[in-house]
Amino acid sequence: MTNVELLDQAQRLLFDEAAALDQRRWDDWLALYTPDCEFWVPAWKSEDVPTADPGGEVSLVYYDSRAGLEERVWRIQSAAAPAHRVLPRTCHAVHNVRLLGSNAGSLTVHATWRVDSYKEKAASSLFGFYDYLLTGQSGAWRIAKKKITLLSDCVPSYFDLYQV
Amino acid sequence: MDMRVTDGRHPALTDPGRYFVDQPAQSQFNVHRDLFRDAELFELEMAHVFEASWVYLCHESQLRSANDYYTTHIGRTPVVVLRGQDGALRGFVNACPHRGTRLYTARQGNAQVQMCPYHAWCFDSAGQCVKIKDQPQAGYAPSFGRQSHDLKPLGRLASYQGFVFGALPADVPALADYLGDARFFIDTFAQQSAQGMEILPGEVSYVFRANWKLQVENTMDIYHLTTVHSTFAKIVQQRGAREAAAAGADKVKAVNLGALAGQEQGTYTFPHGHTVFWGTDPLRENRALWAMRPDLLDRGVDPQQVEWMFRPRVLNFFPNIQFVDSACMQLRVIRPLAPDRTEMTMFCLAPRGEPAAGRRRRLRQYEDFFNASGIATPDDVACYEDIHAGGLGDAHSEWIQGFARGMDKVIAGPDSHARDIGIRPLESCSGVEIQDETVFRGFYREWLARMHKAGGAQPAQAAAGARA
Ligand code: FES
Ligand SMILES: [Fe+2]
Repeated sequence: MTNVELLDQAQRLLFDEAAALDQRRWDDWLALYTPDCEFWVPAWKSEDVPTADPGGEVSLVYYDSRAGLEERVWRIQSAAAPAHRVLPRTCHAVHNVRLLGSNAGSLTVHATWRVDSYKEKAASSLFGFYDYLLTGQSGAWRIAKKKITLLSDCVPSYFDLYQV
Repeated sequence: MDMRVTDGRHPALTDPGRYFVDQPAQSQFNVHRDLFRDAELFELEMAHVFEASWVYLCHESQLRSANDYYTTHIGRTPVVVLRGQDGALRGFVNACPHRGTRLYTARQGNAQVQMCPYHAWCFDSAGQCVKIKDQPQAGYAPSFGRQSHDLKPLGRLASYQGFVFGALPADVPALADYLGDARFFIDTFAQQSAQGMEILPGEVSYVFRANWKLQVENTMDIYHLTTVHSTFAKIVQQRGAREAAAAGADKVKAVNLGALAGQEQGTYTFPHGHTVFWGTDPLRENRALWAMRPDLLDRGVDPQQVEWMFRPRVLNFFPNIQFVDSACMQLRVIRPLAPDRTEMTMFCLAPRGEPAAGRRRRLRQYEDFFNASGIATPDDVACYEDIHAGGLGDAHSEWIQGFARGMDKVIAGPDSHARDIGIRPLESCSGVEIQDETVFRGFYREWLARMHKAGGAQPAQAAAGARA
């Protein structure tokens, strides 16, 4: 497998994830993750430095298994959460995808992202970097780790996982 | 120099009492909707509520070393807190005395000397001007040399248990008197470790589209928990069930709101507008602090204090700081930006020297509930934003009457719990299922007293309420 082919496979997975979120195909989104995945959105220690240690520093979101993502999906679909009474329309743009490393069972991938959200006739956007660890085998990659560095971290009101 | 915010720029309200109906004898308390939407009133409350007395600035753990600084605001005024070479904390207006350029731009940092970016005047970490660029041949008049070029000091700066407060004017009560008996509850935060408390790295902030007072109301509001946070409560239950199935998989052990609901809870109103609400957590062994409980007692911390450390507590100190301890500890600092826009900055507070497993669990509990990306706080924010989209959008509606719960249960002075711990609140309300709203009155009565102090007339009706 050439690096070009591996990069293509990685990109396809990233774009599939973006589409699943924007189209609210929540189960398809969950299926992209391994059961013991790590999902992490660090907070910021200063203007320049995000937090680096989920064991000792604050994160915006930190889950060490898919159960946390499943809870979010349940909550979004429950129709009981005031914050989700109207779901924003979202549009993920994932770009500058780079393959940073690969071996037989894993790919390390970096990308930049921007998510535009639109709700009640108002638009807002968040943006930052993605760092993925994909595991599995060629053609059937799953997300074992996803780190979302949110650059625009003083957010308007609140956000959920489909907006980053 | 007189640091007082004068009333020249912002004349006092002629009749601030018109925003309230406060008639305790008739068990009546209503608030006018204009209190949350009037642009002129917003400027007045910045001047007379935020800039006229104590506000919370930062925690000492955020300035540990000499020359550390921390920037924040008192109302509309940018402020910097400096730790000098002598170790003392001092507070200043964060602006160069030359033309007013903001001096410290980073949120926090370390600088023995700070140079103004505009004309390079330099200031040391005690706020003194140590250099005026190209001074000798500049042609300054002799009077210039007689003027102070130092940073403009705050009227007052003081700490209680490591929590640093500042005031623009100097003629404010001593901080201990201002905080009053509500200090008992700060102690339940501050005494959790012999090594003191620390703010954990990672500051979280968001800007919501609602009046700041609606957020304060939410902080004092027990009534909303079972509706607004019903999905949070269910998720916690489901985690518990998973834990039972998988023998110990619930690593978060968030507060179980369902279990709190049937337990005794209550509120206290203190002088100066401070309020406390407390509950009873039947699952207190899930708190990260539980592992440190024997040490607390060994160390000689008052057993009453230790007991109260395991009660869910929400402290609201007028006007801008909230201490929340439902599962883990949180500090929330309010900065109003406009009548319908407020910046909230949040910090995770933890006992120093906590075991690693407890620290990790504390962080997960904090993120779970409190973050703007969590699964509870967004629901609170959505509700008070919906008050703007709802009742406050109705130009013809006048009075909000949502302060009636507990009116026939509230008592003047301390209840039995307060007597046990030796505190004297102005009012107490406790019991099961009350979900008291009378505590909102204490906050609004202080708001009104500030406005009256600023020169407004005192209508008889409001005066009667303030004495009740
Ligand atoms: S404004 Fe600071 S030196 Fe001129
Ligand atoms: Fe809430």
